[in-house]
Amino acid sequence: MSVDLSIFQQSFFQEATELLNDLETNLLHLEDQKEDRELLNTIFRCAHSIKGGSATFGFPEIAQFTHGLETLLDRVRDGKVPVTGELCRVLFQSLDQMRALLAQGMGQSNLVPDDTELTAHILALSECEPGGPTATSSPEQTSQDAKSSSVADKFLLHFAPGPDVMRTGGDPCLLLGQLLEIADVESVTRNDLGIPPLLEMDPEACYVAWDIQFQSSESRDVILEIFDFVSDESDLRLEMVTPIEDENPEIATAIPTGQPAAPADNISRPETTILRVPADKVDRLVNLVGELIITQSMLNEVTLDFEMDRKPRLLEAVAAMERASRELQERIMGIRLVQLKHAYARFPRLVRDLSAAVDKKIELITVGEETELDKTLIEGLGDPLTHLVRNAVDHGLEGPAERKAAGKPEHGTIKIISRYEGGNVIIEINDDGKGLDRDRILSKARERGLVSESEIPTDDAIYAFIFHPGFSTAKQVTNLSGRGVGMDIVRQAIQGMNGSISLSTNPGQGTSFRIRLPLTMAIMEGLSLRVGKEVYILPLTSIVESLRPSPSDLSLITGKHPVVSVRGEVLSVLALHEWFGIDGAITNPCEALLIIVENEGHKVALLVDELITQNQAVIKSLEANYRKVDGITGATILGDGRVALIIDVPGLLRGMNHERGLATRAA
Amino acid sequence: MSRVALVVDDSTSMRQMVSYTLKDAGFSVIEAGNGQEALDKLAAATGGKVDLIITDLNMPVMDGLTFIKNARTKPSAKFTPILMLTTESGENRKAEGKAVGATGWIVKPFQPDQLIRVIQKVLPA
Repeated sequence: MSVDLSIFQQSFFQEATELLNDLETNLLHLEDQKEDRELLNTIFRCAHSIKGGSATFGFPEIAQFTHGLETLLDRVRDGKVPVTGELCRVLFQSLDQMRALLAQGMGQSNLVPDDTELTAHILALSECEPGGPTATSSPEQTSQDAKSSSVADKFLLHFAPGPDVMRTGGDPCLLLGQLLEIADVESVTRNDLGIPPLLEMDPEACYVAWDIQFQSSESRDVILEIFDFVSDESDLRLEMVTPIEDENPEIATAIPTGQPAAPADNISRPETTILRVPADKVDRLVNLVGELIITQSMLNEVTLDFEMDRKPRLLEAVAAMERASRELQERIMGIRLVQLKHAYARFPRLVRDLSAAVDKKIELITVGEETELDKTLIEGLGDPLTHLVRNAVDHGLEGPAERKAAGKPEHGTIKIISRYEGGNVIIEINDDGKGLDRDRILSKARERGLVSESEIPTDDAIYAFIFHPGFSTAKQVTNLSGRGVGMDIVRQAIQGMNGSISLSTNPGQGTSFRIRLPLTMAIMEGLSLRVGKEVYILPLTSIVESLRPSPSDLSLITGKHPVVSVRGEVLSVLALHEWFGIDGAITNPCEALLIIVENEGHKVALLVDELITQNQAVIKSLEANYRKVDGITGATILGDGRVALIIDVPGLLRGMNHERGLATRAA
Repeated sequence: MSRVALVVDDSTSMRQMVSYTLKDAGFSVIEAGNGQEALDKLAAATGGKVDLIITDLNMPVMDGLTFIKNARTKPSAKFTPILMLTTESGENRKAEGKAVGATGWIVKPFQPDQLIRVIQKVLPA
C-alpha cells in the first residue's frame, strides 16, 4: 500500500499556521506570566505538534529546526531552564524562523533567514549537546524488506510473556504469528508448568512460556523488534545457535527507510483553500437536507392528484420547504463564517514590537473577537486593520511623558471592539491618544487645494480628508507609517468589501475608527425595483427613503441636470432608465418614484418606475460570467427565473459625479 | 462488518493521515481531538467498544496517558489494543505508556505502511 502524503499537506499548512499563531499568543502571555506551568505546557505542545507534522508530511527543515526548540521548551517546562527575557526573545525569533520555513514549504517565499546563530542560541539556552538526535535522522526501522543475507541463521528463543501482557491489550499469539512470517520453525516447546490450579487461576493473566527453535535470515534486531512492545515485562532471550561467520549482515540491514519526501519544489500545489468546519455544523446541514427531501416527497404526493381540497396540505408543505431552505441557506452561509480573532491574532505581537520600537507603553484590548465574519472578508481585513493599528501606535498614542503631562495614565490603550449590528459587523479601533489635529489637517488640505481659503468645512468633513489619496500630516516620515499611502488604501479596501469606514475624534481623548462590513458577501438584503421592463436590485443598506415628488420640488441646474428638493435638502436626480438606456420607462418623476440612496454621506435620488418587494438576493458575480460593469455589483436570479442586476450604489455615484463633472466643465 | 478504530490526536493533519491509512486498510474510523473527547466517543461507540485505539500523547484537555488509564478502566476497552503515537525524543514515554496500559507504540514520523505493520502486531489480521 502506498499513500501519497502530499494530500494532507494543505491540512498541515493550515494547522501549522494556526499552531504558530497560538504559539505567538501564548508567548506574549508568557512574558507576563513566567511561572504559568499550564502555559508552558501549551507552548511545548505547539512546538511538538509542528515538529511531528512537519516530519511526517515531508518538511524535514521545519522538523529539524523545531526539534531543537522542542528540546529547549521541554527543559523550560521541567523547570530546568528559567523563563527570562532572553529566552522570550529567542522564542519569538524561533517563531519567526518557523514562519519563514513554513512559508517556504508552502511555496510562498524562499526567504529563509540563516538560522545558524539562532540554533546555536537555542542550544546554548537548553545546554544541550550539539549533535543530539535530530528529527529526521531515525525513522524507526521496522522493515521486513531488509532480507539482506540469504544465509539463514539458527536461533533459540525463550519467550515468557509477563502475566499482565493481556491486560495491556497485548496478544502473545499475534507476536508468535509475526515470528512465523520471518522464521522457519524447527521445534516449539510449550512450557505450561506455570498454570495454577483452576480455582487459583486468574483468567486474565498469562501463565504460558515458549521455547522456539527456528531458522531465519533476518537479523537479531529485526526478530527482537517483533517483541519490543512486551520486552520489558517478558522474559525474552534470543540466542544464536550457530555463530555467524560473517559479521557483516548488521551493516547490510542498515538500509535507510523511506527518505522523507523531498521538499515539494516540483509538486504542483492545488490552489484550493481549505475551510475548516466544525462537524456539528455539517451534521446539521445533513439533517436539513434530509428535511428538504422529506418535504419534497410530501409535495410530490400532494401534487400528484391535486384537488382544491388538498390546498391546506400543499401550503403546509410549501411552508415547510421554505423553512428548511431558509435555514439551510443560513447554515451554509454560516460555514463560511470565521471568528474575527483570526484577523486579530497578529496584533498583540505587532503592538508589542511597534511600541518597543517607538518607546511607548501600549496595552491592546480586543472585545468581541468571537464575532464571525465571512472568510473572504476576514482575509481582506488583515491589511487595513494592521494599518489602523500601526497608525494608532505611531500617531495616535503619545509617549509616556507626554501622557503623564496630560494627566493620562502612562499606558496608552488601543481597544478593538467588534459586534453585530443588524446584517453588519461593526469593528471599532479606538485609541485614547491625542486625537486628530483638526487645524493641521485643514491647513494641509488648503495647501493641497482640497479646500479654498475662504471655505470653512465642518469638522467631520475636515477629518474625512485623511482618507484622501496621498494625504499625510505626519511631520516626519517614520519607519512605521506616515508615508502618505495609507488611509485612502484602507478606505478602498473596506469599500471593496462592500463596507464603509468612518471616524470620530476628540482632541486630547483619542480617535475611533469605525468599520462596517456586511456579514457575508454572497447574500444581500435588497429591494427589487422596476425600470421599464427591467428589474434591478438595490442593496437595502444604501436606501434612505423613497418618495413621489410634487412638480414644485423639481428643478434643473445648469439647465440640464434635474435636482429635487427634499425637506430643504437639494439632491441630484439620476434617472436609471437614462443611465442604463432603457426604453419604455416613466420619465416624469412626479408619476414615478424617487429612491434616495446614500453613500459616504453623499445622497442621490434615483428615478425608478416602482418598487416591487424586499428580498434576499444571492449575488452571482458578473465578472466571472461576463465582465465588470460600472455601477453593477453583480446579478441575481429572481423567483420567476429572470435575471436581475444588482446596483452598486457607490460605483453609480462615482460614475455620475464623473460624468456630470465632465459635462459641467465642458459646458 | 468492518472493524472500528478510534484515532485520538489534536493535530488534524496527523489524524487525517492515520485515519486515511486505517480506512485504506478496511477500518471504519472514529476521530477525537483529545482524551476527553475520545472517552466520550468510546462510550458512544457501538457496545462501548472499538477494535483498536491509536492515540497521541501530547494533547490539550486530556493527555494521552490519562486517556489510556481511563480507557482501561472501562470493561469494554479492557483488552483493546492501544497504540501510542510518540516521538523519538520521548523514549521514557514508552515506559510510562506501558505502565498505564498501552499495548504498543509507533514512533513519529512514520509512513503509512509502517503503521500498518505495527497494527499487525497487536490486532489479528
